[in-house]
Amino acid sequence: MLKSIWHTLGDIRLAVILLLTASATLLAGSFHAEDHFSLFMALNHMRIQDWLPVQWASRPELVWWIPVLFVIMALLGINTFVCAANRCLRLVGQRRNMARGRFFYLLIPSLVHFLFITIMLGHLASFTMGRWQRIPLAADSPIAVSPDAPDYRVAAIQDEFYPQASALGGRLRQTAVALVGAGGQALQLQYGRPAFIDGRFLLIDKAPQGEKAHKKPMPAGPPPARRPGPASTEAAQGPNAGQPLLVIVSDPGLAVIILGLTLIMALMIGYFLFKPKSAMWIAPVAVLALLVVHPAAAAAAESRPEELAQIEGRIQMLSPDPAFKDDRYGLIVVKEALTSLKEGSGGIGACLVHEQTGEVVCTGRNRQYRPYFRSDLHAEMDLLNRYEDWLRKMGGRTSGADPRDCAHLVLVSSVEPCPMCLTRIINSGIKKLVYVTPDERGGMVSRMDRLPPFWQDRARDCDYRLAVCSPAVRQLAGDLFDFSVRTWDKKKEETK
Amino acid sequence: MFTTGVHAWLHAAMGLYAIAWGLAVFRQRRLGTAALAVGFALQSLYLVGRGWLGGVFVVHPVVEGPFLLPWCLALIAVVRALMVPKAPMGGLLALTVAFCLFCLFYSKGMIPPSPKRESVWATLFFLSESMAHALFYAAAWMAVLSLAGKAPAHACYNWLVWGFSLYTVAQMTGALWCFVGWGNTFSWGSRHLSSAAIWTFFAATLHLQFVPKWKPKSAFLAAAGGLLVLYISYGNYLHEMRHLRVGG
Ligand SMILES: [Zn+2]
Repeated sequence: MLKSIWHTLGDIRLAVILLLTASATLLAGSFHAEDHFSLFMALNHMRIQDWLPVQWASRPELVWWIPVLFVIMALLGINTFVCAANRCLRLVGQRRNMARGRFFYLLIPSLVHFLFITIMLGHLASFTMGRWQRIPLAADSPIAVSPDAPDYRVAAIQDEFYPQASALGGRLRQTAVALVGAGGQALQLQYGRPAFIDGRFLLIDKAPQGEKAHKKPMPAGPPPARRPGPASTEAAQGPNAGQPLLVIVSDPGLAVIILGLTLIMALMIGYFLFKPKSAMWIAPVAVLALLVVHPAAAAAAESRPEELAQIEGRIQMLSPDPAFKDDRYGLIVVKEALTSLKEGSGGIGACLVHEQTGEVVCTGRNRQYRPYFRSDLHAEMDLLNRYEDWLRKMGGRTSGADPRDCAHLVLVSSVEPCPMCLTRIINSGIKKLVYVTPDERGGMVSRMDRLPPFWQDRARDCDYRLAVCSPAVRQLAGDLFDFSVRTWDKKKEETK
Repeated sequence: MFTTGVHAWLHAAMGLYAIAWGLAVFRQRRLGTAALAVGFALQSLYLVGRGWLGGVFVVHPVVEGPFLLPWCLALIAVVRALMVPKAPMGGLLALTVAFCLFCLFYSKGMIPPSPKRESVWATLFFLSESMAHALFYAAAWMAVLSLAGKAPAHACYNWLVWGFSLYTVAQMTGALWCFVGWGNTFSWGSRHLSSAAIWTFFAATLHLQFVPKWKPKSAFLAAAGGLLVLYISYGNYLHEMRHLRVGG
């Protein structure tokens, strides 16, 4: 019962629905905020609990979307937490099977999701605990930054204008406000350049037109983005700097938000650096692909025949992309993998290609479960069996005595070979191997430094690497492989 | 120094993009890429020149959305032509030309910048935002192609991932700009809210990839996302057309 609630909460479908609902709510909110500009701008300088009840009582039809948004964001936070936690737990469970670097690498997407929650919580803290004091600035007036900090005094307000000769002549370019503390310490503020004292940010803002006349208790600031109100007021302003305001911000959420943003940036950059070998354009794809891999995605695979039909459709749609030199063979092994999957074996295919002529010499596929269980018949093993049997029929190796003379052959496999197949391939004399998709859990090519010395020695002059394939083909190879791994995991779970 | 005849450079760039498009349609790759590259160089000069529209250099007119967006699309096209020489270019170039056409009819002067708009964070924000928009439009175009059966079902995915990454960067730089300028990382204004709506929409589209049953619908969402971005950003641009401008 509890377990099923946990899984529902962490379901990726819930994430999709919540994100779409949030998007619709934000859009509705943006319409209201545009029509009732100053009403919502006031919220920028107030705690939400002081603003919302009052507005809700007087005009619920304008502000309904704010509580709705908070509820959706709370649910999304829970959903994201459960998803990311599940994924982390699974990764920790598999940790023994992977190198430490790989473990942290795979952990990054989950960390990014946790940081997203942290940033949301930082915003919640800003909305509920922030304070924004707005004080008109006048030369020589005293400024109390906080009860504990000594008073500051406005030493000078200096406006800088664009040169008269330019079309912008007479318009305000920048304002510098110099503050001097009781102890003689000086501070300088400019538009867009705040100062930080005693846990508070000090920044200057321009008093909106007419504010001085109205003396509202909670003045509305100018729009923080690209809509500076009707143009006419700006035009009428002429060579006039306007009255600067000092804004004193004490925002407990800010540190959390900035820390979250910085860490996300760092993690994303780290993620790029970890895989320098893969082509640069694959890296961001992988970043976000992994970023959104929720553990629940695996659980959402009930529609199996449908999924298989869909993969088949994708293969039929695809033609090899000539920009990627291995794409043609990638597509061939992917098709082999599909055949094998439809027969009831694993979704992996392989082929041997003559390097000079480009002709496909032989194909093979996983035949582990059909027609009967054969634990050795991985795709690469099947391929080499077929090739070596064919050679025997043809009267042995064509060129002389060395049974391992096959320097002209390239083995293409849809998935990174496992330890068994890799040793077999080394032993067969094949010097060149490319695989379409890596296998983080079971692949051996990326861990060749852990082969016994004898095999490492034998493989010294071999060139085994990731194939140069289009993302579409690589994705297909991965999907076919994942499909069979999931089927297998599910069977195991059912027999338990 | 750049003030006289500066808009002619934009017109020349646009003509070259149109030629590049035509050449792409007739599969003249080399010539097409050359036209594209020259057009891109001219448009880059035009954008830098916009900084001097008022007679003194300011950054904002350089990164103003309606003019920056076609440049971003052209940049994507140039990078794609260099990295994937045989990739089809027609769609991207058609988009570039279409968005250039909009600038032709748009008021070309600059909005006098407020001091806050000259912040470095503002520049980074406008750059990343327009770049993300361009990628979203490209994704929407690919999605339409795949809905019409003329491209693989998930052709838009890479574009979406790139667009979303850059849009996330735009959200970050935008939040920092908003804070150093106004003292809030999130502002309850329509600009901030609609941009959050776009972010959540594309986050949903990307998460859809991991629900096998719903995955086929993602091309619809990517196309709809392109329309959403178009509606919000061009709604803004049309609104800003009414502002006082100088130097046009
Ligand atoms: Zn194997």
